[in-house]
Amino acid sequence: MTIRLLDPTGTVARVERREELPLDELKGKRVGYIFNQHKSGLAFWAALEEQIEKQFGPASVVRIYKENTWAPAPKAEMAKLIEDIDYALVGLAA
Amino acid sequence: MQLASRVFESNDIQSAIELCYERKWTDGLPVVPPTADAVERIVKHLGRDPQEVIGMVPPRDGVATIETIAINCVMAGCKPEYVPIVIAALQAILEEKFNINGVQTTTHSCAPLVIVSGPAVKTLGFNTKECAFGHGCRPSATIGRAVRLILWNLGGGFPGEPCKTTQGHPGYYSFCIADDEEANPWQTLNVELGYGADETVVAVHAVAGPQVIETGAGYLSADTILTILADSIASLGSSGICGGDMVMVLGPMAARNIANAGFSKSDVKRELMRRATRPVREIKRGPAIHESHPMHWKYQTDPTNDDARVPYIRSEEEIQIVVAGGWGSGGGFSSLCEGWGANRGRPTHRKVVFPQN
Repeated sequence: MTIRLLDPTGTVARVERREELPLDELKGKRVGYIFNQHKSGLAFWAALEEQIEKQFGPASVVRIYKENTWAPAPKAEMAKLIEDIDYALVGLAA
Repeated sequence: MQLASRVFESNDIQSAIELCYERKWTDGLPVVPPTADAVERIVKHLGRDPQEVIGMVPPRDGVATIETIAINCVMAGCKPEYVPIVIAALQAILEEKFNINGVQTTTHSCAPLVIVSGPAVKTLGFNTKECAFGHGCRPSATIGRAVRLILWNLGGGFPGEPCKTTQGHPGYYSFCIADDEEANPWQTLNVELGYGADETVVAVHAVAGPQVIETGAGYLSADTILTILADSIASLGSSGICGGDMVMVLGPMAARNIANAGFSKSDVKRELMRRATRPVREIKRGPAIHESHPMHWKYQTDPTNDDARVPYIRSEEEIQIVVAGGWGSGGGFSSLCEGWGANRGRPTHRKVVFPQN
């Protein structure tokens, strides 16, 4: 007897992504910070931003500090951020 | 019937069950091998296109079609007539405000609790009496189980990566209860949520496991019962310290006692809002979210006044009251399912659409 089982995992939805543009150098580039503001990461994140400033001197800084740590950042803000930066740091403290 | 899923073969029932383990199609409990016949029975019962898409299940973004839902329902042991409830629960879970991506990945121990209310509670044979949260009832056991398998197989909610829940709870295997219309002295949940009494509704809440409360409803006053319920809500370790939502499942004895004293369901919510508080001097020593978070407790009271009271429930919408459970002894046992807190996600609900046969 052969039992035929159907795969319960289905397919995965395709996500369209832009081509990633590698950066040779971070100095003077526009940086974006996306941070979830979890209490356990506040000190670290402040120190990280300070270090980025010292080490790479970003041309500009755009921040999305999420009000709701656990929910996705607002899509409109994220879309704008993408246009205004060369690279982003994403902070998921927990 | 044309089904689209990949097919795997086994030689016998035992190896079919083992194959499900090997393919990581189950979370630890054995499952019913999902054969095409069984899946087709469900699809036929529903009368829907098997490739109809219901949504994407995060974080894996597996595509939930009628077919893939049916496969997981077979594995869970659902009868075909249960599946419309699973579909409605999934639709509610996939609403953006429920934040299932967060629920599937949080370090908290919340899982979607499926609450069924309306005529199908009786027609499908849900147990709303003794052991309402527990074992012994096929509809609640298998509908809750199907939801979990969907979150597992389509959503990829595997412990460790990406599911970071630190503790989890037994409801991660199956978490479904039904509102007891007979024992409910107030409006049933479906009507309270704005649906007709003749409509079956599913509400979903991301909550921790049930914490039993001995209310003493067989011999204590309604006033005392409300104080006991409120005390159970306002603990220092509760995520409710920053608001959010919770489900209070009142045993029928507790509900009857409180209702007989003249409290409506809305009155009960307001009384719990008023009583479930703690002073600032205690709250400020405990865990909290970031102060810039709009749900932080400091926006609810004067944080510089040690005697000011911090409310754990900020609006009637933050507490859902359901009546279920056995009549029991004078202990009047009830349960609190504490929410994820701080509006990390919000409860949602859907009308169940049954096929027109």
